[in-house]
Amino acid sequence: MNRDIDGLDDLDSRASEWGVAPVLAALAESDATSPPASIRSRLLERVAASPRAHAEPMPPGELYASRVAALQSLLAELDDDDWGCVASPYEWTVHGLIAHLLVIEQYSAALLGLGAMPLGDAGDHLALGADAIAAELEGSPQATVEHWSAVAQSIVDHVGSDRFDPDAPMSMHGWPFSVSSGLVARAFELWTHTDDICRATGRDTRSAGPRELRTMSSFSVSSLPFLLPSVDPDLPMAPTRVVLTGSGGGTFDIGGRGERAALVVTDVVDYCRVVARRIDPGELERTVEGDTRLVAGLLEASRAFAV
Amino acid sequence: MCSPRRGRALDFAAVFETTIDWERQLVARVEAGDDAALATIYDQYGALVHGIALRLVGSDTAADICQEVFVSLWNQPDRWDPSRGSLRTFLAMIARRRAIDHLRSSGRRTANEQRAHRAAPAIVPNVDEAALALVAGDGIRAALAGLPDPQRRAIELAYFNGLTFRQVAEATGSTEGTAKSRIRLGLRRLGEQLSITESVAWQ
Repeated sequence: MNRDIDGLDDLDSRASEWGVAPVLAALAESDATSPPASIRSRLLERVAASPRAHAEPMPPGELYASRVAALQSLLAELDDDDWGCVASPYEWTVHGLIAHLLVIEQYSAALLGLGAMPLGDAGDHLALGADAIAAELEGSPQATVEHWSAVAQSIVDHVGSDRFDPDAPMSMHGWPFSVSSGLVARAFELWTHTDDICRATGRDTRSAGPRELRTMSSFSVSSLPFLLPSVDPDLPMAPTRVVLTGSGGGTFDIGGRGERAALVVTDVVDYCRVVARRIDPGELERTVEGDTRLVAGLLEASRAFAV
Repeated sequence: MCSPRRGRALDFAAVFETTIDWERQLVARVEAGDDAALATIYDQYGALVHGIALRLVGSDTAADICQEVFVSLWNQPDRWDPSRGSLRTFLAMIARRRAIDHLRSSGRRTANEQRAHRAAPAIVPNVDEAALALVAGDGIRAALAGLPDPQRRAIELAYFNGLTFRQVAEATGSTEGTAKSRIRLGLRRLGEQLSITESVAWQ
């Protein structure tokens, strides 16, 4: 009997409507037949030729400006009582945390030739500018926000100027960054503290955009091979695939070519929170295949920039 | 996943949930651009997808459809909605639709011609998934055999022979409405029997 393929009214057109699609899939099990072996390799060749189009990374200056704007937006919402909330994991209040950011922004601006270096040990991120922070706490939170915004804006303006050189060296707290990577590191801190303030004041944390996450996670993952010796000098880097799931994630092959030694899969936001020391690597939900010691070392290394 | 052993009960609900979680993570990896995850999905469901296409079209076309189904998953992984069913079911439905689309574009083919192309059943790589599939397949075939003859016959013609409702009606000497009703009721009964049976003694 010929199949009537015109004016089709058949099982397949009604399966979903009737809720019997799983029944059809179960019936199909009796037909399972291995495809020719060549299909698998052809499939993977086609996929390799059309790699996933991920969110386009942001230029570092744009990322920094975006995180400054996000924090300013949050700060504008805060009530008087919010400024006194303790911004865990620090002992600072929200006001104190913004004063700390003011000092770090002044430090970054000074590295870019935009102002005077704050007083204190530039090698100690948290202790830098302690006197300046104390002085800010004598004033109003709004004044501190204005001071921080002004310095941050000077950096944003510099990035858009003819004097901006993204490839120039910019050593921050002893790390040999370029200006571009330094701006990404600054954006990472602003994102983290925006989350800290949300939590401190009982607000839901706000997700960064896919392009922001893509930029921050790419920066972090690409640096892992260079950071690994800082946590375990005896652990050799080997080819590893890092898969960060979720919007703004991606697949990264690091550690050179050759047979893959390890695979780690985790959520991109959770990974960024590990980098920012807001999730302990041991508590990170992840799937690991292969060399678990290497993966543990890489996750520990991912936190090297955060203090 | 646990390994099935003689005399142990297989908890379908638990295995289904585990399978959905496994599928969800693999598709998340595909969305992130991990081709190794696509290869794993292919190794798991390639035989199912290929077999479905092979029943309806020739072997060369079935191989092409099989490849296209997985390329489409790579290109549009977000089309799978886990809340609406398993990835297995989703891929099976796409395979049948693609095969029928091919029939529409290439002309009429007889179901019996296609059945002649069937090859030996495959060994599905994941042991527990394969066990589940085999148990489910055995169970549903037993349930199918237990249906009233008119319902069973109508389902066989509609699913295994790929006939339209009108053709099933002609083949069984009934009206189209009756044929449709028999197929729907029979399939729903099969589904109910599978979901009601939450555990199956492993033979």
